[in-house]
Amino acid sequence: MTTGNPSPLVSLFQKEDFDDWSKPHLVGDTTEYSALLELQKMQKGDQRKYGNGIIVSVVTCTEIKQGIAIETGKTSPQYFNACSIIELHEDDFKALGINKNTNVRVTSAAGSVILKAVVTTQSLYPGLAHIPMGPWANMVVPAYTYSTGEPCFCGFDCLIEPAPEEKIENAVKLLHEKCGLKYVGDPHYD
Amino acid sequence: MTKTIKNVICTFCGTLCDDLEVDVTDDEKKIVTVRNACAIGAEKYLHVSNPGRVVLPRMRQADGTYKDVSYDEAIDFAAKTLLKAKKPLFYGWSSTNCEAIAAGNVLAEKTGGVIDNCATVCHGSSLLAIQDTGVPSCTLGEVKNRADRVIFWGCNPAHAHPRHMSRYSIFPRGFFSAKGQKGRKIICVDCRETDTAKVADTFVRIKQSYDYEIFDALRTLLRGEDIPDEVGGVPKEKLQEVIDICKSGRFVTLFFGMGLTHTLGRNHNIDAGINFIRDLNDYTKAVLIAMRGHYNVTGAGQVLGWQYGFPFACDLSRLTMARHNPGETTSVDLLVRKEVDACVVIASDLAAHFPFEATRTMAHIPTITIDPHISMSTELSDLHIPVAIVGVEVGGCCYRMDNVPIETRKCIDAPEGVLTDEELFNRISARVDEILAENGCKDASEYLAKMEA
Amino acid sequence: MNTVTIKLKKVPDLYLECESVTPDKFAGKSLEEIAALPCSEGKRNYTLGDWFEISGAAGATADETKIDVYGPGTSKCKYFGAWMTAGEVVVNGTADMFTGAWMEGGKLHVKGDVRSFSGLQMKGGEMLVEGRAWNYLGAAYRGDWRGMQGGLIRIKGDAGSDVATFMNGGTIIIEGNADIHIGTHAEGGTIIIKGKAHRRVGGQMVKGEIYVFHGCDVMMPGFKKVEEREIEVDGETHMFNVFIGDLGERHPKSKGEVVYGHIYTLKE
Repeated sequence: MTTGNPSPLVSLFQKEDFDDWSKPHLVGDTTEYSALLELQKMQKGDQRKYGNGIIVSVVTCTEIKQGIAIETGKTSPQYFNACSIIELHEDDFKALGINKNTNVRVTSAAGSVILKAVVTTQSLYPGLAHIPMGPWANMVVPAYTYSTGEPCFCGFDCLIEPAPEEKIENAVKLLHEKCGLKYVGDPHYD
Repeated sequence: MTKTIKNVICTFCGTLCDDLEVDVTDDEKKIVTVRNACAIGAEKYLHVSNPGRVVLPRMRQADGTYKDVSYDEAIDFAAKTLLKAKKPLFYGWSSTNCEAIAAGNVLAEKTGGVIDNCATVCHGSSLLAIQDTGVPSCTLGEVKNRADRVIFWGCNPAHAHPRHMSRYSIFPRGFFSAKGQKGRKIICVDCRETDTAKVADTFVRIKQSYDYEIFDALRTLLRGEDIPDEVGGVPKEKLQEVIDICKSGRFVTLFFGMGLTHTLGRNHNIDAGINFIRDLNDYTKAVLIAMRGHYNVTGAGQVLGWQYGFPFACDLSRLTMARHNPGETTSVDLLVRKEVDACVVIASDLAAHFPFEATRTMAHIPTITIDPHISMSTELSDLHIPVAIVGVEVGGCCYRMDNVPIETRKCIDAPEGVLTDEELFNRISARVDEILAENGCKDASEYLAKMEA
Repeated sequence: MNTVTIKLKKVPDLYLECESVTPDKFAGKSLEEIAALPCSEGKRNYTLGDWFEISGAAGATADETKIDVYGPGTSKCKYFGAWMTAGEVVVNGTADMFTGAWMEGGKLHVKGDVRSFSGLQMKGGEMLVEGRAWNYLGAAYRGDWRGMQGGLIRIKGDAGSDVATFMNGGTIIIEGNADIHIGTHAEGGTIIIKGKAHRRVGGQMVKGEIYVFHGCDVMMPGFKKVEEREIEVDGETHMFNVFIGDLGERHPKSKGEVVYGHIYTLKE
């Protein structure tokens, strides 16, 4: 999953082998849910620092540039720029010790993704971050629905670590590779 | 020269603005310009005539490339895939017209699938709450003409429904609201001080995930009981201020969005909100409206509702009975639990907007995506079938967020040979009937049993 | 007590709907008749004999019939014991959704976990789960405002969210912890959580009793502490803090007194 030092949470994300039914089994949301609880336990009170990163609560919602870029095209540079970001409060930049507009690794109970850390336009508070909805956000959104059908789009904990040398992946490539499918380049339409 | 088409219905968000003007070329083949649309609507209409439009179905090959195939081939593949699956999922429906949805539902019923629309990851929580506790509501026209207290709770129309505030909720001068914004008090409740909050008179910043507790606190105060000094990061005095503003108004409207539907408690947050609005009716008129995201997700719920009795997550795999149980028959749960073995993504982009664990299942089962444009879903599907764009190349009925049906208009012709969603579903259904008849089977279950024998 | 043993021949690809696996449906039937009972996987219709090896003998009535279910793969079977009125069902493993839903009597024993919507709208009988329960345990079915009416559910492990939503009667005992939304909209019944609940306990509660031994992370603002009292709960006696509420909700009167719901937490 990661290059370099793996995040301390990686061990929580080892999904059980769904195809081996001889082992006692947890299906779908359960492994994720226990990892969600583990993350919540780590973030006790003001102890948001963890390793070289911080733990924040993340919300993912729509944002005007992301809305416009949907219509421009899902494989357009505008969509890439609008959606592959994470908005943080000023204090969280200081806590991480990073400059604005640098890349970070965002890890949740569901997975991990590289995003560009930017200053928010919508006024967060320290400990709250925002990722515009889209394929990058959904790499970390836990699929757990509390049996209501709705995943944890708003309000899930993430570990944010500096990753200035790592690159943000193209969405189609990212999806193909994570699904174990062959990626042969973006389609040549639009 | 150009022709101007007036009163074009914008087909992007649930506000369904009905005052767009679109200039098209004389031959009605290209859009030249659009007026009155917001930034997103304008991008949609102007993007339609860009080069590189997909005009033929594309089938994924073993080497990962896509090859163009004919509509006949695509329709045959679709019919066979759906008949072979034990439980196909039909997801999306929110960016097409009601006529197409009705035709698609017929196909899903014939092939024993689950029909689910975007509400499942959007306002499904609201629909659950409405089923449990009812909903005091009204139309957007009534808000424009009567509302003098408007609350935006967990929604950000400045970004998601850009013209909502100027057409209905904050700025317009209406019949009983001649003073416009000056005669209204606007409250915004959110964990972020959004661009919408910056236009509000009162902003209440809450701690993320405390909406249910705050509605409970408001209802407790309304009944004259005491609450703790601070609830969810909001001081008691501020909550009392919100109540006083509401009680002093003549017509309170609560608009709410993903800040309630996506956060901890899901449907219970809206349930608490509905009951708060109901309690306010002891003092003054109060209503609420869900800020539906897509331009016809409401219509998808309406059509599914009047055909099968449920607004989303409708399981037809028993073939003679419709079942609805979010948490079991909803798309994300079905995909994560691997309970479906084929998928049709129609008028939506599952792979961009579902959590990855669900998308991964979709990528590994036979999937057909029906969409005018390239999307994340088309690139993970076995087959991508292009169709005409509703509101631009084909008309049809759509429902606004307040359940008002509006007929959309056609402005230009679709590219040569491209079918509409409705035509496509009718042809796939016909092919399914042909295959069943060829094999002497009366329904899809019998067909599966015959194939497995 | 006559026992029928059913053993899954293979793990289902999708999920099996097994409403036929109840003492009521098996009683008075021969093994061939039991094997002919329906079950389905998606739109494909099967018989129980297609999926299970069936041995033993059923009793003449449901009351005299016990069913022993073996996997592997029981975690992909829904509706075990649903609507049963008498007799016994033992699932040797985890059971999927709707286990023991709409139960009216008899005993249901699950040796693993039960998934969501189990024990829905139970009217009577006893359900014992050795593992964990997922969400909507003993809750009302979607759209119904009448939840669990009677009976006893005991979970040895943790429970998820939406425990006993719209509860009217009966008892649920969770020996581990619970998540969010316990007894939402409750109008009666008793919930005992011997561990901790996360949040939203007794939200919009009209009537009913909820014991959360080790408290909750966030208490609903509509609940007010009124006293401390010694109470016997499931065989143990402790001193409890007593809260009344939900004060944000309407409450009926009985004999001139307002009837509230109660939350009890251990005085620690």
